[in-house]
Amino acid sequence: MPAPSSTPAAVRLEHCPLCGVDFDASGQGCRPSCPMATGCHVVCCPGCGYSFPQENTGLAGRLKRFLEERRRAAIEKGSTA
Amino acid sequence: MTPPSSAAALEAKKLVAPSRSVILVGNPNVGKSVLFGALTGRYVTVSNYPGTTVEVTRGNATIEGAPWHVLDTPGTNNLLPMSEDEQVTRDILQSETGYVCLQVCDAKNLRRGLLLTAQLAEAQVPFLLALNMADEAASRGFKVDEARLAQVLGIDVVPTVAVQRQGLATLQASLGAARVSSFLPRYDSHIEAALGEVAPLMPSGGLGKRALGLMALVGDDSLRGLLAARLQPAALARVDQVRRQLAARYPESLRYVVARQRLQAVDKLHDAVVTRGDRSAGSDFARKLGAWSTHPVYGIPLLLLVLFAAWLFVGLFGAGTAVDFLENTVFKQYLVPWTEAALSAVLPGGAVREFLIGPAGVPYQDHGGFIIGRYGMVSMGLSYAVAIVLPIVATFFVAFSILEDSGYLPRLAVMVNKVFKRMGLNGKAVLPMVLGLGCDTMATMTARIMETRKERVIVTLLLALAVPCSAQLAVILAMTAGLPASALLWFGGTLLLVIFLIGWLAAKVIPGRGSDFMLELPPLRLPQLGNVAVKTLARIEWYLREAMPLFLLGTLLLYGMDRFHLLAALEKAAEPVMSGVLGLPKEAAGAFILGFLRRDYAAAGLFAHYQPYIAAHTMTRAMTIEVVVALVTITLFIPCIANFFMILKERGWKTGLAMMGFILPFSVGVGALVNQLMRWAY
Repeated sequence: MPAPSSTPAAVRLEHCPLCGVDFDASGQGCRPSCPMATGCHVVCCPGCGYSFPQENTGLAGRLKRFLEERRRAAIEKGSTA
Repeated sequence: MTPPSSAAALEAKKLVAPSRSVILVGNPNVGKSVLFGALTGRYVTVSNYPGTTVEVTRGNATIEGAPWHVLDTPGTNNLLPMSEDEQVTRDILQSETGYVCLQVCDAKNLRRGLLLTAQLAEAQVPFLLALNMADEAASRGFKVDEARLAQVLGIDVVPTVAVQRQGLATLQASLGAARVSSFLPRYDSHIEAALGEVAPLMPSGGLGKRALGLMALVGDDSLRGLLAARLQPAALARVDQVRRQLAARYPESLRYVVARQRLQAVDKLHDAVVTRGDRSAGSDFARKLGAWSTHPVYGIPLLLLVLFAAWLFVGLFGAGTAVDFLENTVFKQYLVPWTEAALSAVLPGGAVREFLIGPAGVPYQDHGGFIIGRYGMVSMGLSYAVAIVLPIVATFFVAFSILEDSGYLPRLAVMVNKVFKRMGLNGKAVLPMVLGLGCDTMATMTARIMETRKERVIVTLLLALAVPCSAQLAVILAMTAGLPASALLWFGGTLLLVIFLIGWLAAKVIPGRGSDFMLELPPLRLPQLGNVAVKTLARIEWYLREAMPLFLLGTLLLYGMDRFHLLAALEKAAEPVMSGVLGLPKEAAGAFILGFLRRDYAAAGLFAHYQPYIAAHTMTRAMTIEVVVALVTITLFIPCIANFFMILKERGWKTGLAMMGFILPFSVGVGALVNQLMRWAY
């Protein structure tokens, strides 16, 4: 059986700043339920219900990916040294 | 395949099931269902657990050449159930027999998973642990010493990446070797003594006696039926007696005490096996500071210090230096005149020019141009959103992000919870109120966690009335930074009194007892600059996306009302309330209209009005009273339009409108009372 893709494009990992849970924000969260949903990028943590703006989209997402790449590169550099 | 829908069907299934069963358990969102799919393939049955609407999934698998029956349970954080989902998982583990468990754990959130591991160990269930999403954990710099974890737990620990089927073969090979864990958290001597008395009385079969004894001691109502059916009345009475005696020893609930002591054991294990990058996941000092931050005595000065620092940063730098630069230099000196000049250059004189930028030679503050004018899109809409509110909320977001990234925010929630509970509020009601500091609209939705309609209505009312969202809180902080300490006391005291009174009344009328506020506390750590930057940027983007259109819409509304002389009529109509009752200038009516679109917009209007006097230190006593009255009234005023729609959606239009019918006169009434009292006593 072929292995499913490990990182589907839709996966958007978010980290809850209140309870520390990491979760996939794609396809869930506050957006479908909010009367002002259009354009709203707030997500809800499945662990504690805390709502916060998505950090994986827009400029914040780009900055986050840039910082993560730098950190990953630093870890890899450290492990090969 | 037709899913069985009754208890009889489930019983029949048990009879024909293969001899070996594996039950998948784990926290929500850990990839349990993906692993279930990888084990079982396509053919599964999904049915409601008897007597509930909670779905459980069953399937069959051939593992190491032997047939296995596989059961996927709803995600759970606790074997002491706090929800129907969690109760179903606990009941399955209690009622099924002859099974082994496969605990699926998110390797990035190992601490959370280990809390469940500790409870499975206490339950004496044979199990093994899958550290799922091991790739994501590694990419985030987490290193888990699996060998040491397996040694301490006394069970097999297998790293997996379920979506890639990595580790699946090892997991399948280890299933047959699942065994009872030797990891048993020890509680204090009183709890251990009580357990020593209660555990032998517990029924055999299903979960172990130590786990059942702990559940009985902390007063798990969902276990009551089982105990009543399986224990003699004398044994049941003894359990109750021991529980009451034990509960009398602690100021907190036994559920909380047991959870805290179990967490200490888990923390110790977690710190021994997890490292992140080149530093340990926890440290003694951080843990001590974390403990002080939620301590009933030491926590208060720490809380006040944090709030004071945030207030200074937002009030002095954000609302002072940054607003002054953006409003008076960027907008008033450059952006507004440049826009006016650019439009004048391309527009000939006449009606269109007058409509967009007003009559020539008249200062824009004195006329009604659409782009450049008293209620112009650039001169007011953009200016309020970008020059006044943005620097204030941006500095507040920086402070808020530091609180979040340091791990202090959940501790702040715990402290607020303690304060609120002392006010007599129902414990469970506190959670949506704490979440309201993020977004009131979403917190209104969280009110669903309350058990009765009455509770949900009261929580929704408290949220709409007295809990400011982050943007509103920022502007309030900025406004209060310019007030003398005595006026600040009037403002803070009034709000606290209102929350206390409404909360106290709510606690009186809400039936039943309150429940505990259970929140996992991540370790306290030094905030990372990169994380703070990402969080702040995400919030600013969200703010600009959500608030800017409403600011422009509000400006358009005011412009239209001004053009058609409705604003003057409204100000005249509202004058008896604004000037007579609240003692505010009649122009404040406009701010209250904006307040319905966004409460921070209303506060920004007031800020723009009084800021020159605050900056020049020329605030008179009357002005200070006006600011306090206006802030009190706007904070208690009807919620923003998004929250209003959410209230209608969640509570129904009759209740929603009734709520608005209460809030509107109540906020004005409290404002009027403060006005009278301050004029008399301030």
